[in-house]
Amino acid sequence: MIKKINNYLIVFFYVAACHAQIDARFVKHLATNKLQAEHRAYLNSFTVPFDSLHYYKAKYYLQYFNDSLLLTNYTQSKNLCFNDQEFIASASKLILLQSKPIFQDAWFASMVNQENTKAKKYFEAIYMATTEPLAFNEKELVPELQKPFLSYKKVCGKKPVLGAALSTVVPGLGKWYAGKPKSALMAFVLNGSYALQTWESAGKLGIRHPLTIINASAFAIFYLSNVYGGYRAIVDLRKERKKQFIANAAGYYN
Amino acid sequence: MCQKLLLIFFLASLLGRGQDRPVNDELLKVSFEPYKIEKTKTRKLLRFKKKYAAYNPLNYAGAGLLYLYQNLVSEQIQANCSYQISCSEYTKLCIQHHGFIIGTLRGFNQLSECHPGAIYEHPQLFINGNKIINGLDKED
Amino acid sequence: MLRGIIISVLLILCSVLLQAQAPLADSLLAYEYRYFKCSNDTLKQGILHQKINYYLKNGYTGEALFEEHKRLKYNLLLDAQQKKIFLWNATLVSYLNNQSEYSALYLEEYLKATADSSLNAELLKVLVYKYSDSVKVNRVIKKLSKTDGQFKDLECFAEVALYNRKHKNFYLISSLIVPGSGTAMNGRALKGLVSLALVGGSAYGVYQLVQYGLYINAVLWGSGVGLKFYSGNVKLTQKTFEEKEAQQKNKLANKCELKLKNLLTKYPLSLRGL
Repeated sequence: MIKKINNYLIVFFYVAACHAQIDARFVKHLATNKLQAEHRAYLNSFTVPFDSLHYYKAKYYLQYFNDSLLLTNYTQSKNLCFNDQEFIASASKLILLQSKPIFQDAWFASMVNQENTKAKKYFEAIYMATTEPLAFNEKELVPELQKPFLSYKKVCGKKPVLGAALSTVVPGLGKWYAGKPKSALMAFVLNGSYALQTWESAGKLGIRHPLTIINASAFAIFYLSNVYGGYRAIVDLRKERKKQFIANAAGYYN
Repeated sequence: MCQKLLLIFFLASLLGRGQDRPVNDELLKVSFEPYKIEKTKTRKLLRFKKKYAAYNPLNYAGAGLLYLYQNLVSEQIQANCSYQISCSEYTKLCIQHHGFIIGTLRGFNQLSECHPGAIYEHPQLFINGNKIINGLDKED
Repeated sequence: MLRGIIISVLLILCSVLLQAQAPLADSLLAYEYRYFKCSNDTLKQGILHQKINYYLKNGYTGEALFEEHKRLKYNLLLDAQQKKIFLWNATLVSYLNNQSEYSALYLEEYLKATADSSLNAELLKVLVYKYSDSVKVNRVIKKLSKTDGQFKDLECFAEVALYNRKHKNFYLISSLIVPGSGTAMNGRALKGLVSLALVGGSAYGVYQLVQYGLYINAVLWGSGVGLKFYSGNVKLTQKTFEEKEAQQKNKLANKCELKLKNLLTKYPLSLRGL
């Protein structure tokens, strides 16, 4: 019974204390022990909003990633957030890796008028490199990131429509152009074998024979998917190499 | 009188104290079917992202063919897909999001890229063990 | 008289207030705040133990509670009784969260701390080791069957662990000779028939292609489709063999579980100290 009274008294004092100000060390303790329910309850116990509360909420939504709520709270406590370079770096990294372009644009646009810090400069450069890779000079990046960036830049210089056109002429050529020689060879062999089958059955059984129709249909569908694949290969490689570059960049900053 | 009431209150509070909580039901739920073989789950392709896609009979024909393939033929083939989401499953996903024509083309394109060498053509971030991580992007 | 009534009404009000449940997250937060403010490591573990008990009192046995158990350094718990209660509950909670390694670890620690040889402790041993250590389980069953003959029924767990289907190669070779036969013998007749139809159909198709002189078609369809169906049929036989083995093991295990359920109803296991 005494224990219970003691507990509730502590809750009472704790709630009273809570309304005075946020205990930064306690928030850190909740974050490091990944106590999500307690962390949320602590932040929600403050009913009157203030700058530092938004800052801690932004940090909470960074840890349990939710980009829209992170941005909402960040905009309401911009100065406080910006003083925490670790926060800026982690948020930039996660937004670049996981968020839609619209959130990325909003995040980096909000940083424009802020002071030039190390994290801001570093991630702004990465953002610029990913949004306008052809205009970006790789020498602005650290040597370790130049190779993944160049492979991304290389694929950005290629045209998906040209890839599709090349695949139309020679099956698999578009994939070769994109930088996928093994898949190109596979597409060439696959299309070649279906073409051979069709040619043989058409020659010996006639064009209206069911086997010729089956062979021709299989060839047609693989040929069309190869043309589309020539286009897709470049589009997909762009996305993949962009994400790989961002992941490398984020890892290097750590 | 007062002492008596206090005594009653004290005894009542003792009665209200927690006892050991039996957990038999929960324990028995855990232990059933310990040797279960997990079957690969397949999605039902009946809902489409675009409204008008629900009126396209080709979508249902594709869904039906893929259903037959996955339930009858797939297990009869000696195949080890290089992708995390198998070609038939990926085709379903693409038909659901992009319609019959683009979905089929994407599916067959993955099928023609489904070979052991494909793993070397993707960045490290997209490799999980010996499988290539595929799927539709948020942008898709 | 009036004074007595007033006091009792006040006391009842007080007790209602004290028993009133605050939202779970808020109460957990209060415990965590106490834990954080406490500088003594031993006291800290005590508070964490109270927090764990609070979870349990509220009927929660999920993953978050298991994580709290992992946080608690039970060696620092000063009160021996508290330590025993913690280790007992931790075994059960780990088991409920399918963390068999942790439940075995906590149980070992519990037995070290208490040397408990009560019927409940022995029953918990059966529960934790039933599929992993048949020797230990058999030893426990031998001991328990002296008090109640019904415990002898639990010997089936050892049989389940040791159960293996024989003649795997026979099924595989039979499928190599007659496609689908091994699969059918494993109880999947329809799948076996489909195998036979697909391999037979492809073989017949290839034969017909050769008859018509379509050699390129024969080679490409034969290697691309026919061979894949043929090797797939063997793979399917292996899969159905393993499935059948698992099915039979499950059947045996389910029977054992029912026997265990009867025993658990007779001798219920409980979370302690709540």
